[in-house]
Amino acid sequence: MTGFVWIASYPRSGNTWLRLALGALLDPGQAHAGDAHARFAPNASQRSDIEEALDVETGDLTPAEMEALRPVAYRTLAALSRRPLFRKVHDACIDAVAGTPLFPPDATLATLYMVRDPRDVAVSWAHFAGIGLEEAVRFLCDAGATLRPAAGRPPLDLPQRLLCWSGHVRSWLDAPGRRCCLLRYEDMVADPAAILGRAAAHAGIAATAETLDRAVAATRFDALRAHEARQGFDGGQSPGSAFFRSGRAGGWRTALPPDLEARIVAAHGPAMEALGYLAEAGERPCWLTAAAVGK
Amino acid sequence: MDSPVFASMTIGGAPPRGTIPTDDRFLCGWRVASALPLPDLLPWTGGDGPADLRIEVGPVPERLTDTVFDQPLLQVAADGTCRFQVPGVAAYLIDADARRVVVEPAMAPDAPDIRVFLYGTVLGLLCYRRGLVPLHASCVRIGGGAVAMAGASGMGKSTLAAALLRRGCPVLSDDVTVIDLASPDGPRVLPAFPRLKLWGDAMARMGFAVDGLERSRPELEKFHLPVETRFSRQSVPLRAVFHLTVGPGHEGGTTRRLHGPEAAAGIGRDLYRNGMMVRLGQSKRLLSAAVALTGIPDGIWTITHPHDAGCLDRSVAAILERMAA
Repeated sequence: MTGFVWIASYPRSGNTWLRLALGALLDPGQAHAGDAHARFAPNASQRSDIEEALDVETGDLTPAEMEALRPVAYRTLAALSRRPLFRKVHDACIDAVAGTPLFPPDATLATLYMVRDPRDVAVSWAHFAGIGLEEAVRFLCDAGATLRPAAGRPPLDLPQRLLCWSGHVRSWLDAPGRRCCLLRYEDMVADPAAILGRAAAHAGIAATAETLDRAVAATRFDALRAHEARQGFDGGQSPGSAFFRSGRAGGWRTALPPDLEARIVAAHGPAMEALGYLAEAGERPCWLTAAAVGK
Repeated sequence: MDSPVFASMTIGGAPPRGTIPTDDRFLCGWRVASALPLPDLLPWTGGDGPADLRIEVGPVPERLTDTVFDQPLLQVAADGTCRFQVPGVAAYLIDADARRVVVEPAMAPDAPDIRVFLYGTVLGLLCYRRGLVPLHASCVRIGGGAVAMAGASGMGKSTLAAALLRRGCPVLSDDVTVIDLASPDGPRVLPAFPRLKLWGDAMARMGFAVDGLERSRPELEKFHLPVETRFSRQSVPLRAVFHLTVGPGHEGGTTRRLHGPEAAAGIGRDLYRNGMMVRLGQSKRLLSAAVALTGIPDGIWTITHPHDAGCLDRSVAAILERMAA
């Protein structure tokens, strides 16, 4: 009996970067960190997890049955496995059916929650999905937003309910069970070794200053981008778009028109403020010093 | 429950006994005597011998005793008896010798939902218990040989089979391809049932009408396309297996032949619900089955099938080209 380490985030918030860095930490001998993408921490919504756990064809299940069976499958996989199971998650942390969390606390070892300024998320999402900025902002403000396999791709993952951006954040910060480890993308950009170290400690992954530095070096943004340019990187982005695009924090200042920025702030202001995204430059958000964050 | 098939249902007692089978059908060469209506199977036209498989309708116990595997949907007892359940649809009890299945419907017994899981997980369990090898694949006949398209759920196995059907290739099976390794002339595919289960949008793209077709589940836009007139009733030697894959970086229809351990690993991955083989205590069979299948005449392949524009036509062309070579 073991359990899951959920590596959770809203889409385009640094989830892949964190996963690749954790993958490099766990397997320092791999040829290139970018190659671990397909192996380490697959998507929790992959249909094969349910099928492997429950011996049932997901294509024959109704959406309601699949929702109800996801936590059952996670419990079963946790019971059958002898090693921690790492999964990427974009779903909001909601109930699968009333009173039953989609990600059962009793099958959870740890949760790493990566958050990013929603204004940067909107710009990145527009590029990723091949849509306009206005549509991207609308998506971040839509309480019914659902991530589905893109047209022209096999539906290997189940639809993932996201809620709106701040609904997603709240769902994970308020999730039942052991409190998640909150990681800010911006802090990872500023000091990747420190943030990776905090993630590893929370997830129970052994790390030293040396192994952290090596994992950080292996997953530097320019290295990942160069690897993508050489070999390609299929992270589900729209055709012709780069997966590793800018890797910066604050790019929205030049990319996002003021009216769209205002719309994001109006919809998500309280959560943004709590996470320090509305603080003046250099000012440490008071919320980040809360006990909730440091664990 | 006021359906006639429940009229003689016995409540309680062990072992459970169900209704007397009346439907006489054909599945994988077996004579199936079923109390559950099985309209998607061909009528039995063979001899008067006893049924190879009896399907009864009756109570299924909540719990098996002496379980070696006990998970929410599947229980396996030490003697090989299996209990599979889809909540709200049906519970299925498979006898230790895999010659009798008792079905306890949770909905109308003639609902297609019950048959969907009967021809899926339950068929897989029956195959493993009977020493047959099920692949997670749809299968058509090309020339004198069977060609299986294997891959993960959602990869488009049935759609590819339908596209090959339109090119004149008779269908042998959909989603579960049953292989007899014991045949003296090499692995043979046993014909399953004459229908393909297809999503409505895929059918529309291929020009198949959905009007009047049965839905596999009322809630799903997935339909049962009957293919009786274009169904291979005879078992056929397995010639090739194509494993459908997304990529990376290739357009649809790019093929690569696998050899040696890579081919065996590919087949191991394509075994239908390969975890069930382990749960049934047949792990040792897994390797020998995979190795045996790597020896089929035209081999084990991967074919990229990423669902981009034109992908289906390219994959069909690539498979036909490889089989013509």
